[in-house]
Amino acid sequence: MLRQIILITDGCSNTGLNPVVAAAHAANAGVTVNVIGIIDQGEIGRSGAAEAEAIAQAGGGMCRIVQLRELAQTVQMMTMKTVAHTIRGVVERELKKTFAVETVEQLSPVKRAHVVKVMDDLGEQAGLRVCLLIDTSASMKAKLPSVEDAVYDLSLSLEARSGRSEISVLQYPDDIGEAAGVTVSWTDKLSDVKQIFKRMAPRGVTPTGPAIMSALQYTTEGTTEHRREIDQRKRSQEAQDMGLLQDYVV
Amino acid sequence: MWSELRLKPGDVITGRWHGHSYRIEQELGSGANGRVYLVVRDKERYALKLGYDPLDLQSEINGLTDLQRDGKSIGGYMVDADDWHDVSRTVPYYVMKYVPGVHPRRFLLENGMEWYPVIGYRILTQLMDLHGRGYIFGDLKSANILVSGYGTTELIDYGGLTGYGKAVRQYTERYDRGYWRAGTRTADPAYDLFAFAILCLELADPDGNELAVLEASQERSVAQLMPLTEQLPVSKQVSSVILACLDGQLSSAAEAREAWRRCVYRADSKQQRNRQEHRASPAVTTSLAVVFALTVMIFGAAVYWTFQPGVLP
Repeated sequence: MLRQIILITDGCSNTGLNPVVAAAHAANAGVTVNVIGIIDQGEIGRSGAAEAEAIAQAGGGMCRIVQLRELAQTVQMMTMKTVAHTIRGVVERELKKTFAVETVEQLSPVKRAHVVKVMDDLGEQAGLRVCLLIDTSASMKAKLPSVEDAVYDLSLSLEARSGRSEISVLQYPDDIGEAAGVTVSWTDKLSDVKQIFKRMAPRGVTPTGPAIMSALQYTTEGTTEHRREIDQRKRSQEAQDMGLLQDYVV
Repeated sequence: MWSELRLKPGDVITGRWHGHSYRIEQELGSGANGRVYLVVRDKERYALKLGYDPLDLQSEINGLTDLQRDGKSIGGYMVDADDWHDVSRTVPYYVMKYVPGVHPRRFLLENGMEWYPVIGYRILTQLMDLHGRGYIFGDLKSANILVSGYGTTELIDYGGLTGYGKAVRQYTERYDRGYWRAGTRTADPAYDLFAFAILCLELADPDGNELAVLEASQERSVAQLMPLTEQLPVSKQVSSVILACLDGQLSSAAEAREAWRRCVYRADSKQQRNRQEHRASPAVTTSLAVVFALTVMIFGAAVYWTFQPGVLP
């Protein structure tokens, strides 16, 4: 299973864990973090661009600063490049063992043709999970229709793959302004979802670091800390109710 | 990766594996994954594509090799594939038959819109050929077509070549079925036909503004494209084919080509008829005038002879 997070933002983080550290955690867990910084009649700012670049580097992914209209294409390109890159890494480790070469390019044209064919098939068939982590702070509000467009576009491309492909959308800050919340949970048919961004809670905070941690957890464990807490609370409440019920019955 | 690498006329590159040398004549253009040059080897001209990414280029080479497997060449015939070892890096390339020609828009501008149906037919023929081998072209667009001579049309840049049932490898938004929300991005013949329909609309409209406006809209849809088909005189004659392609009603290029042919012949015979009627009318007017003049003369003579007493015996 190939896992990646695509962070879409238009600014800098301002609270919580350093997002570069969070991205490093993701890289440790084998989850690639790609970053797209959007500029829309303005600047993302030097600090924003530098942070985006650092997050991508720590997360073993790519960083692109793009215009809003290039967003869909960029999301698409990044996802596919990351898949190819990951597979290449795996294949080259094998090559080192069997052919004693470091890269695919060093192979003779005939061998290379075979290896690349295998890689293409793997890229098409491997299971894939893409978590889109969207900054929905106030300045992003006007850009959300384009983000929605890009998400649909990506899901369309993923649906065309032969391998199982799942997509999820998380947005941050969440209701309590601390991390990211799940907007669309893992699905392989996102084009059926009518409207992605229904709730908006534009607050002054941009907790990019904690949001990446939420995305990481959701990508690897299928839950977010925040969710888990709520679930736990709910569960203990249920247990209490059960206990009361039992008391009552007894 | 090496998108910044540019070769100058006179530069020579030599293959690491096969040892052939190519002298660069000029740059022909650049695609999504490489730059194409006109080169010379043993006085023969070829097109050489230098890849930006070795793996990406290799996938393209694999597709082309697969197409050539049954011996019959398709489009640009692949001649050589090799690596060029520069001072600091190794750059992969492949060499194809050189296809001279110009962008279809330029061809139509220079030779007239009468050639539009010819070019359309040729493109459909090429798609048919590809589809017969289990592949779609994928990235069909005007920039990937060269037209020469009497409307000879060649597809260039096979970066989008995709086997049936797989995710389309490379596409351009304007021509992409998914982008217009008209279907999936899975390779099937109808995917190419959709791109063909957009291409037809684009070439029919010399300014291309209408398409550009629709394309930029977030509410874009096929329903908006349909009226465009009827608006332009050149596309109108083949509008039924274009509409069917946009709508996904045609499942093969062969079907589309046959429908296209019928439309063109019908439109032409209609034109032919119009021309004949048009030509007939002045002739009719002339003969009517002659008859009228004769009638007047005979009438005049009759009157003269009747009312001139004394002349007759």
